[in-house]
Amino acid sequence: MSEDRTPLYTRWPVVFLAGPVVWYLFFWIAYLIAEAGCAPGVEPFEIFGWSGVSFLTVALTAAAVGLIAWFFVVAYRQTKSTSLMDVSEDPDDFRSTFLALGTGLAVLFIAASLFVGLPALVLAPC
Amino acid sequence: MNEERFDTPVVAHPGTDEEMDALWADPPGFIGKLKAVQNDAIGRRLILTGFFFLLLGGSVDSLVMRLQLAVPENDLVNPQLYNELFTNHGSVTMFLVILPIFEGFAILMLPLILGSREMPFPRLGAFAYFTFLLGGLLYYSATLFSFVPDAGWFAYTPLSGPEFAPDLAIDFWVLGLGVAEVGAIAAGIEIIIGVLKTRAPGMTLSRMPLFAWALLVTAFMILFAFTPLIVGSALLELDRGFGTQFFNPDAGGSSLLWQHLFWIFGHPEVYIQFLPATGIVSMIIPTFLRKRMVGHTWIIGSMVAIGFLSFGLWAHHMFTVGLSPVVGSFFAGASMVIAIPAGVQIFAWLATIWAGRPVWKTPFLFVVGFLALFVLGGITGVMVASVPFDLQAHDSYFVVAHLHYVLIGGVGFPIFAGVYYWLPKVVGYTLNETLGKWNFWLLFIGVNVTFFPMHMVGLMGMPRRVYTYPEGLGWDTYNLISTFGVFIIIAGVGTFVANLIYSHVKKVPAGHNPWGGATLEWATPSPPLQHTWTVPPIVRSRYPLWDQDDLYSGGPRDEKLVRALGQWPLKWRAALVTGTADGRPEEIFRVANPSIWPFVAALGTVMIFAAELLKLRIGALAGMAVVIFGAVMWNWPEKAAITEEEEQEFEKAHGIPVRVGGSLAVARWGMGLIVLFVSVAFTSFLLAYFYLRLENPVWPPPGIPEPPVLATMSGVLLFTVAAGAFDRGLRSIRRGESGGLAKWTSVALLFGLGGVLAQVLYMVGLDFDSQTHAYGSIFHAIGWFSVAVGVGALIMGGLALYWTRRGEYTERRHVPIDNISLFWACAGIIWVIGFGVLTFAPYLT
Repeated sequence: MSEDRTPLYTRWPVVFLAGPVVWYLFFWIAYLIAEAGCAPGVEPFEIFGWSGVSFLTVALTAAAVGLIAWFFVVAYRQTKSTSLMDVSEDPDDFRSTFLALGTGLAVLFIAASLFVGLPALVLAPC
Repeated sequence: MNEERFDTPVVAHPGTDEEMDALWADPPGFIGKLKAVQNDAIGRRLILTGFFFLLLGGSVDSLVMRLQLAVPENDLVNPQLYNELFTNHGSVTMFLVILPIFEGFAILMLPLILGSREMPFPRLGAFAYFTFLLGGLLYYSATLFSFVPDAGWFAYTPLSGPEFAPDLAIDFWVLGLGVAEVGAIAAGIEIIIGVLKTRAPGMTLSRMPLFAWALLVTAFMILFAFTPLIVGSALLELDRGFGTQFFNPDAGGSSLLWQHLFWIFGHPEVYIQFLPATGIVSMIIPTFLRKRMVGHTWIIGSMVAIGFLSFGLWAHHMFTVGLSPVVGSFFAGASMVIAIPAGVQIFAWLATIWAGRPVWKTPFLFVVGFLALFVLGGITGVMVASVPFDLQAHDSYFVVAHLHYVLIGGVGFPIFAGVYYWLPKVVGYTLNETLGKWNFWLLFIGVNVTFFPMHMVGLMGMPRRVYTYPEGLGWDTYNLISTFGVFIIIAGVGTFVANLIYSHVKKVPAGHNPWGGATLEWATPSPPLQHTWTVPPIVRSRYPLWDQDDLYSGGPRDEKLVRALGQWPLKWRAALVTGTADGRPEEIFRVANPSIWPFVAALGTVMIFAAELLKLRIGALAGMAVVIFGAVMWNWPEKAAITEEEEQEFEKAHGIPVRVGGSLAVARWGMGLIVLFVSVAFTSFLLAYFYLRLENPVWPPPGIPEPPVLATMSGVLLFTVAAGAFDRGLRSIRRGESGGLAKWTSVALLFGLGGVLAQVLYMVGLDFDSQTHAYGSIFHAIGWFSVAVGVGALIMGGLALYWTRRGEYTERRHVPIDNISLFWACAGIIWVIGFGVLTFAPYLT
């Protein structure tokens, strides 16, 4: 099967779940940094003049968005049709179906990453 | 496409049907019922027992609460009883009603819908049922002893801790529900493997019905959500019964740690309940609109998205505990984003309804009711996702209104829809349509009359969980209206019960396909055969009964295979395993026979928890022994039903292996999920460790030295060598060298035993206890958990050696060795990380 020779990151199970998995890892890392950074007895720290927690949150958000966007491109290039609705409704071709879903989930989880991470730009961290 | 033709393809082959039915039937009599594993029996029992608990805890408690709140300053019940009522109401509905009913739906319907003969681990399903039943009864037995839990369904510490709840009430809550949680996880494992590996040939993932997708996502969520709750409950019971300090802030612990562990379960739990409901809705809408689901694929994506997002929302239940603004914003953001996939589903359903031709039967009425009520509840959910709004609305009746709209509307209504839809298939007769419509309208009106006023009274400031309120605050009329609404709901539920009885008496035959449905379950007789499918169907469409002229045409190999399976074997239970994604036949495997051992293992489980309740430590050890013995006997290899030569003959004819010793694919998935469960539990312990570390600037606390590296890690070294040796044994048997397997298994056991002994001596010799400070508590917890995992690996290794010496394993047949090797690898990793964290974290953090 040709799929076995393709790089792992392009295979449909990886592409399908990349958005949610990357988002969830980003969420936990950002949350743990915020909890640790605001824990009792921890001295506030700064990075480039920003609160360290806020800076790291925004940096992680950018990294998550970038990584998910990369997977979006990987998925999109493999879909067989420019019409996602056509591809997604073709049950005989499950690989294309899940690649198309991967693009949709990537878009959703880019939005989710921004929803989660952007408030750190304006909110007090601790 | 031919949606108008509802002929049912012929599936019955009389002679073979009878033989297979007799082969697959559960044994008769009372002992037979204890041994029963057949999916019909287990599924029905789960649903009926769930409804029974609903009548107890969902109905009587809520009626009494509403009567108490009907007028201000009422004295129908006292505050203590009121606390017990809302605790029971929440606990029973959230733990003992909704999830068991959906797991029952799953076990009952999935083989029909997926085109398989049975769930892959029937004995696991039986174990799940008995643990659920016995756990629920253990929980309810609290009433007999006047130890009724009263700390809410969430049992916040310190109210549920040893200081403020010194009697056994909370122990009944923790331990009774703990048993039921074990059952939920067991059923979840079975559902995952059933959906992924036992489908009809040709049923790719994208052709798989949406109900199966919903249950697949739900079952994974159960594994990830219930496990932290079990860990948290264990820590709470350790605080209550063993004097540890996990949740005591005066000794380095944290009350908030309990809240985090609870809500990491508690929020996904509501989506664990919602997703199967969306699966039911997605099955009913196409049938009653005579239209394929618009956006079928995007509904799959929404379900997966909800599954992930729901694990990032938990602290929106904790907005008022003093989270930092940025942390609060994480959870607020995620809580709002989850509305997007939910909205995608709703618009897909609405688009299908818009484009179709509605048939206004009772199942569809309940679906429409669901849409109206769930959308209303969902909107208020987005409102409370906003931190500033929630700071005002938290713990008010506004939240009570929200949760009941989403749970009754979003979950309860689809349950009724599912019952009306599928009951004719299960029992062979229809429910009365007139009574069904009365049932729907009474419930719909009753729910709105009861819960809508709660939005207003909540915004006016009425808090939750108060047994009365003063006159003159403007809450009186709203509360009275809500109470009136409850009687309408009761009439609705009563109509449902009356319909069940009436229809059972009248028994109007349902036929194979009373609704003209498109999915596979409607191709089977009503009620279905014991073995579900004599000839497994071949699927070439998402809507096979609408699109396919028959269910047995496909590729020549598949056609030949399914017809062969219709005739052979007739002396042992055979089922088909198919590819996870592509639905291609992979192997034939032997499905487990009825057995008493799941019941015994369930009894042992409840013995452990009940003994802990009574502080009978020896009883807990006895229970553990019963569980281990029951599990060993449950998995004891049976005499092969056919020879290896006969297996090879079938393989040569059909190109796929026959594994009477057990399915390689199914067993590997089963062990993989057990490893996942153990890993999630371990991760929960680690998170608790680091949370407590953050709460304590000095770690370890003064007076406790940092752990000695050599002493801690020497046992780890021995154990990892043991894991490596077991892997060598696996490689030996893969080459057919059973002597090599015996040798390396012996080496593994020797080093493993040495490692476990070394760690036990180390833990016992620690110069700090688990009761003085949370540091000691979590150190002992992680250390002993790791030791327990190691002991589990040793027991499995010992059994492997025993069976090896009996000559059970060959190059072709050694599935248990593959699985035990996976567990050993997991155990080795847990030891390295667990003892590594205990040893090095104080230095590194």
